[in-house]
Amino acid sequence: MTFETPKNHYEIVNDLLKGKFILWNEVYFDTLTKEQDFYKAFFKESFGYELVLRKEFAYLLSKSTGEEFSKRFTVILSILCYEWNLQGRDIKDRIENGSFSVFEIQTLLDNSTYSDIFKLIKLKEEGIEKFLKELDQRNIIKLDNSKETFEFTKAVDLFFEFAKEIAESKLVSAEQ
Amino acid sequence: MNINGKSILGFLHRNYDFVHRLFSIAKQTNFFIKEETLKDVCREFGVSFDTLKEYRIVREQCNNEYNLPSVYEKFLSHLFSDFSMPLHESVDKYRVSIANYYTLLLQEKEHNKVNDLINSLVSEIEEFSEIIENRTQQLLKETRELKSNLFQIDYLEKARKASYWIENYIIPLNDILERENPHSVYQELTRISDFASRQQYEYPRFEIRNQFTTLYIHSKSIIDEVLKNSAIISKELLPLAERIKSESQILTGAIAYLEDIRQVALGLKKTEELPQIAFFENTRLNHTLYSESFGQDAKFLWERLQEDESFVLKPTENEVFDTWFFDLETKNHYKKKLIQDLPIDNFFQWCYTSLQTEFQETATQNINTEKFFAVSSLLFLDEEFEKDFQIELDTVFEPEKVEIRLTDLILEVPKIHLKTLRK
Repeated sequence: MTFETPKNHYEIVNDLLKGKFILWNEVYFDTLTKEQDFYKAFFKESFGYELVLRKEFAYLLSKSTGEEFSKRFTVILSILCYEWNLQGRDIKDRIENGSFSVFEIQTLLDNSTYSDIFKLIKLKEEGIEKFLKELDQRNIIKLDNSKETFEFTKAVDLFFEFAKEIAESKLVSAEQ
Repeated sequence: MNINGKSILGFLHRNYDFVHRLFSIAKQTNFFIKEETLKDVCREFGVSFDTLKEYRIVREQCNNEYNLPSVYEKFLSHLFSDFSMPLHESVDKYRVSIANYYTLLLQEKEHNKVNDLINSLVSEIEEFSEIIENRTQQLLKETRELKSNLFQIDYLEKARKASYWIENYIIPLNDILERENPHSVYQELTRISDFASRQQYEYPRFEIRNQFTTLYIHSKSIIDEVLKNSAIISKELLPLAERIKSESQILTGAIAYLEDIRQVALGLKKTEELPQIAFFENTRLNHTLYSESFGQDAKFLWERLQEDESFVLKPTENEVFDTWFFDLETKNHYKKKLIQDLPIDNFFQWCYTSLQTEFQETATQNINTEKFFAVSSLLFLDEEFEKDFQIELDTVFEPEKVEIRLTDLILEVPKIHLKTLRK
């Protein structure tokens, strides 16, 4: 019996299991789209993970909890949203279309009304640069060559959806 | 008191700020005001409450309440460009009535009735046109105010308000104006305009043909109005309201999340209660993999554990630690030496002798395999020699064997002759 896999199988499995997003403009995305039935079954049967394939990116969903990364990311982006709104900017438009300097982000987080919350996520030892590098590795942001500026990828949509879900639940509980 | 149009307009003119305040207060309560509130405003602006009643700017209702008659409501709304927004049905009723008048007109044969129906249709279309114009502008104004958040309402309320407007006002208004919707006013007006366009030439009576011309011109111009307002709604109003809704929801969620984190830190909430983004869950696997040397490593550890007594490796009194490394500096030293000593008759012997020279004045004279092979590695660095010294080395192996006695090994190696091939 020969074990046949789609093209770039190793890279696809490895990237997704590292928590990386595969973006629509990446080489493997086409393979993933064409072979989505295989990969959905593969990840479900092999690891119990759900493969989410959207128009613009793909990622793995698991039910296990307890990762600091999620908390850190949500805290940082929430603080930035709050601060950008205070500056009178359209948050979503800014995040989707803007370019950000690492220095600007660090300054905003340090001087925010929510800087106490930022300190709580204990990022200080490793620094924002290292965290941004991890976001870059996971394809959530794209750092430029100088590593001084970055842009968000479409994966950030999940943050917007997450925030909206919280808002919806608050609205429901406020109306009860 | 002499009450006529001039005196009423004079009163409104003299007390413009008062009237504006009165209108704003009344608008908030659907144009019904408590007597007490009304008297307070009159006192504040020094206006006679009785005059207000005499001019019938307010009309007494039951339960000590007054209302602003609809004629004033409309006039002042127009004056202040501030229109109330009754439910969508109040707009939709015009769509229904316009359609009804048109159906009646199609069936009517009696000339006087046709004349009356055309007049009613023109007036209904006119009213509808005013209402949609006012409503679009009012929605735009209020949406912009919501965006700038003049009243400092919180984001949750902002999101709720934007959602409510979108669902109950903006989308329904867009639907009745929408060109593609077969039941829209646009479609109805197009049918009326086509019909009037034909009848202005075909109707047997001259004066009614003129009436149809008026209806045709009027309906055509209102179609343009409808399209203009429809474009404002779909291109500006709806996107703006959607953006406010979306932004406010994101901010509400973001702030709520940060507050949750704070509560967890203060011990008021459990970590498990903290919402989490689903995708970021840990997907990394912690597979236990065994290395190829696992068996040997385990055996070694097991043997050590089997020994009855613990042991510690200690240097003997006279033992000197050998800290020689073939690092970059040492390597460069030997490379230079080799170049200086060229041609070399017996390479391996040269390695040994060179090491001996280096160590003869040091405490340790231990020339072992590690050191010997490190220096011997120079034989394979042709490219480095070429790059660093622009020298190409020629290596000649001779059949003769040479014995090298190291501290931990006796080697029998070939005799290698090394010389410069090209400079």
